[in-house]
Amino acid sequence: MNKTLIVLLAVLFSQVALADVHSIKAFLADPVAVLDEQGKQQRELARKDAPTQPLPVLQYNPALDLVQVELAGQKVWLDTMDVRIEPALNVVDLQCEELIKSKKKDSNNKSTIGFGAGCNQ
Amino acid sequence: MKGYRLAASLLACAVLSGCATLKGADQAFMNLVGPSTQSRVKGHYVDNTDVRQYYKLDPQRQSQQRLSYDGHAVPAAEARQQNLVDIPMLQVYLQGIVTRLSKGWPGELPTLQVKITDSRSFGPSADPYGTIFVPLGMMDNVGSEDEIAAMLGHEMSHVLLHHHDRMAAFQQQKEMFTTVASTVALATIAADTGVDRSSGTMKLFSKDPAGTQKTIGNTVLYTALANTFSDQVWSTAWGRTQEDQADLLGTDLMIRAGYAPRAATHSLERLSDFQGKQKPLLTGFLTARKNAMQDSLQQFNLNRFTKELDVLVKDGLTTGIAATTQYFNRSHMSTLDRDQELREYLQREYRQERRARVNTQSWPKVRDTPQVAKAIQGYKDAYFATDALEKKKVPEADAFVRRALSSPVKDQPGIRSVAYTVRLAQGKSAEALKELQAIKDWSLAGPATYDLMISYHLKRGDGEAALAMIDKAERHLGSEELFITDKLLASQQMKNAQQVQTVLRKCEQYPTRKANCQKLAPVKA
Repeated sequence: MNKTLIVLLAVLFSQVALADVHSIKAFLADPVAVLDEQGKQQRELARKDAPTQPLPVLQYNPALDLVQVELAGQKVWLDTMDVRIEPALNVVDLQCEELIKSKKKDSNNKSTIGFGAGCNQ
Repeated sequence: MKGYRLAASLLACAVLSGCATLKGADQAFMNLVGPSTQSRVKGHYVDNTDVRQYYKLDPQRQSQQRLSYDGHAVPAAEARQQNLVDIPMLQVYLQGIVTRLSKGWPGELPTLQVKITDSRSFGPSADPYGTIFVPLGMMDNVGSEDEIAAMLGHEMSHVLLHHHDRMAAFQQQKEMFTTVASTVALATIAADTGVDRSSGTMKLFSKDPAGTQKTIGNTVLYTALANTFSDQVWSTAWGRTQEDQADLLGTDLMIRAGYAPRAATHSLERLSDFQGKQKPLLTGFLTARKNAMQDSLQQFNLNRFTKELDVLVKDGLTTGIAATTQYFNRSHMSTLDRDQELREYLQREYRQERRARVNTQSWPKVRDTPQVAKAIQGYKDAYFATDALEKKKVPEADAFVRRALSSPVKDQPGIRSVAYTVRLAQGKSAEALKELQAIKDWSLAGPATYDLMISYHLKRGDGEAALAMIDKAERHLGSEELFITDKLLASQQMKNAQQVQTVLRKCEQYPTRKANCQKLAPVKA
């Protein structure tokens, strides 16, 4: 029991293990910077040479915003700015409200321009 | 039959008055959205000629806006809708970020003021007067100060680039929906109306009163919903160019202020996640709306109308549906598109800066300060209470609201109005009222909270108390229009004939309120 707990805690408090959950769906930058675990550039990878199939994310380092993947059999780190990861690493803990039927008196703040679409609150 | 045709023709005339709008519906929709801006920008956006034209403030424009805001002349639809939240430390912190970002703007600065709202939404918003509304839902979900800066910078950019001027065009297009609704409603009445000549005189009767009512009801409801959505859900799609521009300028400002631009992509990812959660809801809505429109079309017996009306109305409706569907799809694409375009801009223009790391320490430090944390938790508990109430779990709602009422923000409108609702659900009307009376600072209240109190006074026939509350609402929300019908009622309750006539004359200046006011207080000949 204790061993299980220790393993779980170790996983939780080390760098976030993301195997088989998140994957790189697209390489957005060209070239893509291939980094070491400290974020130091090792080499560059032309987008045309990058894998076309989804690439599983092995680890995520939130402090440096880097993900570890396996490229040509080698474990390397990539900057999340260079790639599209799905499901996204940055999400919200907000639920959408049930839609309220519009009453005559209902009105929205039509003078405002929002950051983007939102839930109907 | 001749009589029927006459009636139909009359209806057709009424319908045709909006034909020009219907015919141009597709172009009107298309005109609202331009291609992505990012790819066409050379150099830093803030230095572009397009942006330079906004460096200098137009004093006349500024003074007009200010006068409008302070002079009770803000249209009801533009008045703030939510309760404001007073957490001084958080307020100062957010205002500080805006000040820091402002220093990167090479031009003259309008007044930019942050206000926190009790909404559980994610995206902030800005009004043309320079107020940036920050929902608590956003504060609860951002990961860093850089991310906050990205979102505030985006909103500031809407103000700096005068995007609200274009909103006027957006508003006009929304009227198209209403025209479509009127068309359907009128056409349905006409199609379902028969002529009874048995009595010797022509009498129109409805062949399917229930069906007609249903169609009209649905059409009006869905149109109202469509308009509601336009602001909140379709805004990205409708104003895509504006969003692109605000992303660019906001990013320039945050980089100049020393923030890490990658945070802008973090917030766009979160926004995408937030929007994604409502996708099934929206799909259901759209299908329902489309079906309602199609039902209407089916019920609309086109043979009974002239061929011209047939073509115009049919085209108008189908165009509306097609365009709406297209924009609906686009709106879901837009956040990730924006993110990708922004990343490409950063790679092109800010190769070094894009690698900068976000500061993950500064925001948690503020967020976890007891005074901020307790206040945010208070509002969260109030939200949970509302949520429990919606699920009809009254005891659970009571427990949450009790916690909210023990927080430092207990006497703010956002908390007390929830407590009011919970007490009502418990059948405790007297206690419910006490909750509203406990509100200490009414300047924070949104229209819905004022409405509760005004309605209470009016129901009791206490016109004087209602008027006092309306006066507060007018002062704090800057809108006379919002409660003008209530004001008329209150004046009537006070049996002040002169005041009734004065309010009535004012009310007649507001097209959407005029009819109601006249019903309440017919003008004396």
